[in-house]
Amino acid sequence: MTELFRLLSLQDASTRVVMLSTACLAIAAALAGSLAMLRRRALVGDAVAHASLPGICLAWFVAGDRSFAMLLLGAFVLGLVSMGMMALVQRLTKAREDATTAIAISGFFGLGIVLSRLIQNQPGGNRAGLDGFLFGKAASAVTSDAWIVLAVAGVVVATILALRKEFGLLCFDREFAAGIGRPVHRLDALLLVLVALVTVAGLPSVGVVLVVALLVIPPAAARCWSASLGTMFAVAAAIGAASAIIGTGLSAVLPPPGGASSGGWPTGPMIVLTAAALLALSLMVAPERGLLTALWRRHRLRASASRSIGSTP
Amino acid sequence: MTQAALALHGVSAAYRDELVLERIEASVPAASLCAIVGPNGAGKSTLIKAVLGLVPLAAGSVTVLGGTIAAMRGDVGYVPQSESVDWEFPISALEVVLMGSYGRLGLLRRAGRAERTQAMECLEQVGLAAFADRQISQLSGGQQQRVFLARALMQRPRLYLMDEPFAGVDAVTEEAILRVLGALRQRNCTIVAVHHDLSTVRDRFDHVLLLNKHLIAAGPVATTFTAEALQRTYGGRLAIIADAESGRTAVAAGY
Repeated sequence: MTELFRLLSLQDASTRVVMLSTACLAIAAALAGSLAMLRRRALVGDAVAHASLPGICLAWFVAGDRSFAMLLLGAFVLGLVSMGMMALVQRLTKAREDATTAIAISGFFGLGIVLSRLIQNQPGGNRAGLDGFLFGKAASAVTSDAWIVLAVAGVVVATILALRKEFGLLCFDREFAAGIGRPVHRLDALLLVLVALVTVAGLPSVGVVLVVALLVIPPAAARCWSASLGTMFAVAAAIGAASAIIGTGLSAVLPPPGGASSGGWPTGPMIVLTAAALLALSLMVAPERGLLTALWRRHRLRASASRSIGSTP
Repeated sequence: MTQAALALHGVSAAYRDELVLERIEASVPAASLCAIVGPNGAGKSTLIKAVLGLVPLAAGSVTVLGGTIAAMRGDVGYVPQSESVDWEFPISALEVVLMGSYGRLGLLRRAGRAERTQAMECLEQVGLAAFADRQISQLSGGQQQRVFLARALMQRPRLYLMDEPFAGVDAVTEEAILRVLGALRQRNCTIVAVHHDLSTVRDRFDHVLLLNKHLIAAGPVATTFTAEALQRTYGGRLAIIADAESGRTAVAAGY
């Protein structure tokens, strides 16, 4: 209980920075994810995430020791490689985007698992470090790592807000954007790079397997509440940040499943479950689109219809 | 002779690796209302996109208002097919119309109060002022089409390229679009529109391009839009009942 209080009052400097950076990252992911979803590219983040595992492993081989920035750089590079390969396969085979994305997700993840096995058998290849990237491990993150995440989040948010109207146009009507001379290919590429950046920066806190949730769940929940892109951004950002803070908090204060020595709950699943709960709530009670709202409206309609039938002579 | 608003010099263009336009040689006079007519797959939409530079030219060149499209882009308005976008998108009618000002705003500047006022005027011209704040999914198909027209008005162009502006619209929208097109003509604007309904070409347009991969005929409707030319455009898939007295052509087009 005292620990919960300590956490919520943000007395602990490292918890404060980690929570802040995870929340800011969730905000950046919510904005990039909103655009990716509206551009029907939501799954690209998942491919980048899974391609980042071999990226992390390759960076480990190259850099030798476990340098956080190097590992993220490796993840980012392989994320871009996976997107390039998806585009190439699509162009050469005319396969649909969903199929190429599925190929990239499974193929790169398989490669990543093989490489991580190799690392485990190397001297100094500690399993725990890579496991943290699989499911997220924010509670144990060090402050300098958090600053990197914070910086990436800042760059992504600033870029999206500066180009908000262009990205809105691109996602709504790409033809028209091209028609007025916008560099639509470059804007598309920039959006994918932003998605790759938040995905990679989200790996330490949410992990390879679940990080796509930060890109998809808050925007999906926000869509229930929003009639404009600005509102969607704001609501998605709020839901993302709330999920990050609550999820990180839960993983820190919940009693570890296997006793104190077991290392505690990973943060990724906690953040994702919180976001999913907020999505479920949105689907139920949102105005216009909510399930309960619709049932209530139907009930009202039926009641008024039967009243008016009763009143006719 | 006045300068052509649009001139196509031996234009060939491909859509998905298939040549759909071959050596099109035609021009559209300034201040005319020109219909592009032809069967499905004749390359009508591709022609519009080729003019805008959205599909690359395999051969030939395009002159728009006396210059290249890159130089004259600010003077060219575009109304895409309304099915080409997701109408569930979280955006209001007014915000869609504001997109018409993006070309002159540049990448980083936002639309301000002046643009909002202009956008409201454009919505008013198409009879949708009352729907400015409506989310676009709550508009009818005809209203959505008119929002696209208002967005093109917002571009304040001299040449309008429209991809089936009359497709599937209700009577109110049809009347509103015709009113706007008439007003644009008064201001010496040129309109080039893909058009499917052969029975209304004579009433609504004064110039016509008959297209079926190749250019079949181009010129004033009165002399070009003949039963014989239509037969050549549509091949054997067309039954034409010419009414000599009214000069009208009642047509049933098969696809």
